[in-house]
Amino acid sequence: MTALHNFLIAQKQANEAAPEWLSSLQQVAFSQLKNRGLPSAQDEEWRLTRLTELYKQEFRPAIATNTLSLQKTLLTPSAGSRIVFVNGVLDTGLSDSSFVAGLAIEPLEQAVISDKLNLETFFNASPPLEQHGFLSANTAFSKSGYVIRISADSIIDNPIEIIFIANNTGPAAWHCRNIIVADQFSKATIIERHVANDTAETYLSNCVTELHLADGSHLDFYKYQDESLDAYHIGGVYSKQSRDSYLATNNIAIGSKIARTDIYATLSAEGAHCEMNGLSVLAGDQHVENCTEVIHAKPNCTSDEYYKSVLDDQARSVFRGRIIVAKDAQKTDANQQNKNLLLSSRAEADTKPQLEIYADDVKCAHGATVGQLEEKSVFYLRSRGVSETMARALLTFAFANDVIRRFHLADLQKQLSAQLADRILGEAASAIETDSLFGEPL
Amino acid sequence: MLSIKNLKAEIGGKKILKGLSLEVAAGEVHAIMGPNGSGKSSFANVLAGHGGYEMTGGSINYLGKDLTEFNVEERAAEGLFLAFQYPMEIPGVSNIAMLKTAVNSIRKYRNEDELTAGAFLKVIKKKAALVEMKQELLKRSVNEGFSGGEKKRNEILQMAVLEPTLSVLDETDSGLDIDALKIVAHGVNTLRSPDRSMIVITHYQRLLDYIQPDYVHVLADGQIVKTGNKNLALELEERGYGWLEKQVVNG
Repeated sequence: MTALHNFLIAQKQANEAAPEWLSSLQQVAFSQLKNRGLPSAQDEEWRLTRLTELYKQEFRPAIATNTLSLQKTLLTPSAGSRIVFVNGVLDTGLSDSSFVAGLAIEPLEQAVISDKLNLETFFNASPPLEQHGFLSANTAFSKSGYVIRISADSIIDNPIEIIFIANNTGPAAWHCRNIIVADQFSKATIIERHVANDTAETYLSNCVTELHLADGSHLDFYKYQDESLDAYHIGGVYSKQSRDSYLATNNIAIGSKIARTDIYATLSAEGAHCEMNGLSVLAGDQHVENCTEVIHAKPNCTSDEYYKSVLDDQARSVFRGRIIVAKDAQKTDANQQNKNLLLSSRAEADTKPQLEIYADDVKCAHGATVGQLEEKSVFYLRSRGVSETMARALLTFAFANDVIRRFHLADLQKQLSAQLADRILGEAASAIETDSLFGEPL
Repeated sequence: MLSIKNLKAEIGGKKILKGLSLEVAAGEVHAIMGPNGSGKSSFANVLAGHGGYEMTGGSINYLGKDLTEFNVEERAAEGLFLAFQYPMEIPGVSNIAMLKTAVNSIRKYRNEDELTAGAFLKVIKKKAALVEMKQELLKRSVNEGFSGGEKKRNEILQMAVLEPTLSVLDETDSGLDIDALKIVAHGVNTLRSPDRSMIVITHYQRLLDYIQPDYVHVLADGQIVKTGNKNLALELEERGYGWLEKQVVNG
């Protein structure tokens, strides 16, 4: 028994407000957690992300804190709805969810009681049946989180932003559970941000988001993880897609000490398409593992996965990419690419593509690379008068920006590109700023 | 402008240039032809300062300075330009951002102020028209998804924007159809001036119909074995390189 496990087990308390279906679900999850414990290094699926330090931590439950000292920059200006959680607790003062036609947003604790959204159908319906300890803990302890439902045929123009802020946390742990339901032929963009105020303490954010896409729905989902460098982030994004639905999960990780995020997509009806983009830009002793799984359960579905990492100092990234093509999922078209750029000799990238194909008429492509900047490209830029330092920075930026430009949300794309340029190019970032050039026709 | 004496260079211990001498005066266009593996591209790379090559002998004097004293980017800032045979693709950085970075890097080296957005735009507009480059290609990532002809036109665009004193065109004509060739040649000819020189490396005489050289040299086995005027190119087209190589072997 580790300290963390003991702490979690001690958290059990009767949630009297919860409806019966949820209580029993949580009871089962709690027993699982209690009996099986948290994943260990012996666990094949977890052996590349060492959590020994995390398990030794003495935690206490999260509390809401005074948010007066909050940095304004954490709350990006937003035209759409915004929900803010501080240390895993909903902050109504910072949230802004004025009425938008076709869009229902409810905090989880309310949603389970009002049950306007018929939560029982969706809660825990997208993660795999076999669940690891963190997922069990999330199910067992999730009291807060958000529930979003986009009603049929509704097109929500402005992106919906959900911001999780860690603020003077102390050694706290929280488990948010979020559920997004996109009804038939609806369309929306949702951005989930995980950020930290000035906080140097170890905390654990164990956050699970479920995405349920009905026939013909379209969801563009972003998970932006910029937690404190002392923090642990364990996350999951589990989706289930119905006929002809379209989902993009864009997973950006630049923060945290250790992060492990599971991105699972199940294409459960014909014509569904899933796009997975991922970018980790890490330095120091940061460690990020992204574990992706695409299940092609039915014929004529497509998936396109593109994950990259940029690793400096002794940073490490682990990518697992599993694609499962079921026996009757003929005409599947699945693509997976994982590319890793090492900027230092001490950085490390592990990449594990894993294809399980049981159908015979499918197209599955995958590729994985780990390497350094191409010297030919450095020479090319230098021959144009660009200094070697700048050439390398520019190529590093280009490598990372290559993922950002796949994003569909232009404003976010611009914002992230600028942030990336600042981080990688520093003062030279202005050199590649060309927005002003396109203000007028060429 | 450029005076090369007895240049010797090798890559990974393999001797490539074996005593190459060449004099290029201001305003001149020199064509360098030669069979595969004769060292043409290596010569271009050595001039540009490619780190993979080791210069083992001879001298390169450029505008009264020892060119070998400068690193790659300094050579560019000193006015040397290499149009690549195989231009690199850089997904994630726009063509225009790269050009802006290059222009301002060179201006900084020369202690000139950075160009304002407006001034830069003006230059780009003019030069892009010169090589018939669409605006869309300026916004796209450097060379990504460009056709062979578009890549070569992009090289000439960069050349036009950077306004080099000495340009080295490494097989810029390879892989071009006749229309693209004409556009590229037009771009190059527009840049010709009494104070600018060019070294045009090519496999085919065809390019020299459009870019008329003052001299034609034949490079074989790391040395210039014959020099003539543009008629030499025609002769090579007819007779190939075999007779020259034999001459070299026979002393």
